[in-house]
Amino acid sequence: MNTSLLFRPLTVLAAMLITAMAAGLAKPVQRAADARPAIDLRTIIPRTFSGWNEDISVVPIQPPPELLSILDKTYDQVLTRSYRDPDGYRIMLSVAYGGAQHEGMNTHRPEICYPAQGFNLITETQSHSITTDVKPLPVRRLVAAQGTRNEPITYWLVVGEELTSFGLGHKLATLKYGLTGKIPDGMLVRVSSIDADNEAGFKRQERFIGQMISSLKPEHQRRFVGALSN
Amino acid sequence: MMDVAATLRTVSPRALATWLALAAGLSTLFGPTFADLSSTLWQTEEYAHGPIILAVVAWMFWQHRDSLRSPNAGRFAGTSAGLLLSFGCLLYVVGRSQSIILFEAGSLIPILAGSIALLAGWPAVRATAFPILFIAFILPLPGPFVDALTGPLKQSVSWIAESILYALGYPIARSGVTLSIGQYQLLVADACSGLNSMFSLSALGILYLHLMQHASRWRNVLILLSILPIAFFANTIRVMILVLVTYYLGDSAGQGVIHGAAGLVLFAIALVLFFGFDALLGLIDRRDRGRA
Repeated sequence: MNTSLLFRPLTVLAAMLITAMAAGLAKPVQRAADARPAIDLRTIIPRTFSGWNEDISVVPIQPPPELLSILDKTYDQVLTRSYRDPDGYRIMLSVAYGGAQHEGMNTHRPEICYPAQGFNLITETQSHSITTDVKPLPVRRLVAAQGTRNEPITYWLVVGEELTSFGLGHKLATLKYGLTGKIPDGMLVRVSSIDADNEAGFKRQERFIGQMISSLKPEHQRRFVGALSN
Repeated sequence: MMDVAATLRTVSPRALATWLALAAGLSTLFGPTFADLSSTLWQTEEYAHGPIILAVVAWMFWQHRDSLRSPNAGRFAGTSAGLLLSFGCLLYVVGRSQSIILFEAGSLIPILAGSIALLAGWPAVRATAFPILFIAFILPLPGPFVDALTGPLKQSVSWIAESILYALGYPIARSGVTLSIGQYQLLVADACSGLNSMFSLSALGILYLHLMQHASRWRNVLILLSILPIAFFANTIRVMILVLVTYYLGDSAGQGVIHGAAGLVLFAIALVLFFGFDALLGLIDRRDRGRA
């Protein structure tokens, strides 16, 4: 067999094998979270602050068992806690933190999580900005309902040190870390209350969020609202 | 004698080695890709058609295997083919390492086109252009594209559904993409925009066009142009059916099994309209009359 005639096929094969290797090498493996101190959500978020007290009589919506097993695999810590203010108003807080962000995180979006639990989405998700002591916090708001339970929801997503949103924003933030070989960690914070009045509910949640952020230690605030410069 | 010689030439060790090398390379790259797809994207309702499209593409390549036989001692493409292949490989590296399925799976198109150009010349690429490009239907729709189109589609569907049902005398009103009918409130969700069914129906329509091989250009163009409007119309009908089911049978009926059934109805309506339209054109089309 004339070996020179095999030059092209072998070159093509070699190119492909090199490509496969390069793809493997370029895959980010280092977790950005490893470079920062570990956090325990239960201790860094106070059980009492600004008049809000932990209320163990109401349990926030948990994902169904099938989703819970995915959650176990994708999120390192999930904190669900209810708070009550002196007026008796109850707010449900749900924080999910994962050391490694990836595509599967999308299943935790309230827009997907709530309908999976049998809720109907009543409004389209809107953007809003909450003023906190630290920096303006862009959040997403929507309303879900099941029977007589009307639940306005406010949530936001932090990837690494960047505030972002599900969809392209999330992808780009993850990509920024990925191209430098790092896997960013991520935090999804969800605040909701059972309230027939959507606007009033959102206002209460906004106040709660501002007060909660202020109650955190400065080094922990960045985990929840991203780097202070942006 | 000539046949034997021809046969011997077509199974030359060189040709065999060439295509084995290509097969080995492609498996190394895309074996893991398709394995990942089968456990993720292809499990979802919107992209379950993936493996079917892949099978269709493979079948079409087999049909074209004659044009893939390297023309003996011809002058093969060089630089441009190499560049295309390199671009494809780069796309793969970024896609696979950063978990961007669109790039990882999408790179199959430039990699395949570049490799075939290098190994069998550009004429072979031209002959297999359809299966190569048809691979695009395995890919997920890009996020920004979906985001940009979903809103306007939902608005249009909601508006038309409300207008028609109102004209038919139903107590229906609309606020944005929320429809209120009787005592019920329904949000036209992203899944109701019809974008995914437009995508699947486009794949079907384009494949149909390719297989039918109609001679007249105007007929092909008309059929092509009819795909999206038909898909949009079928989806609007689906939304109206779901609204009416909720109105007559209540909330739980509207959200349950009927949702999946309505999706099938959408497809059935779209296909009937599509084939019907082509049949109609067939009556007017003179150039195809002679064919059996």
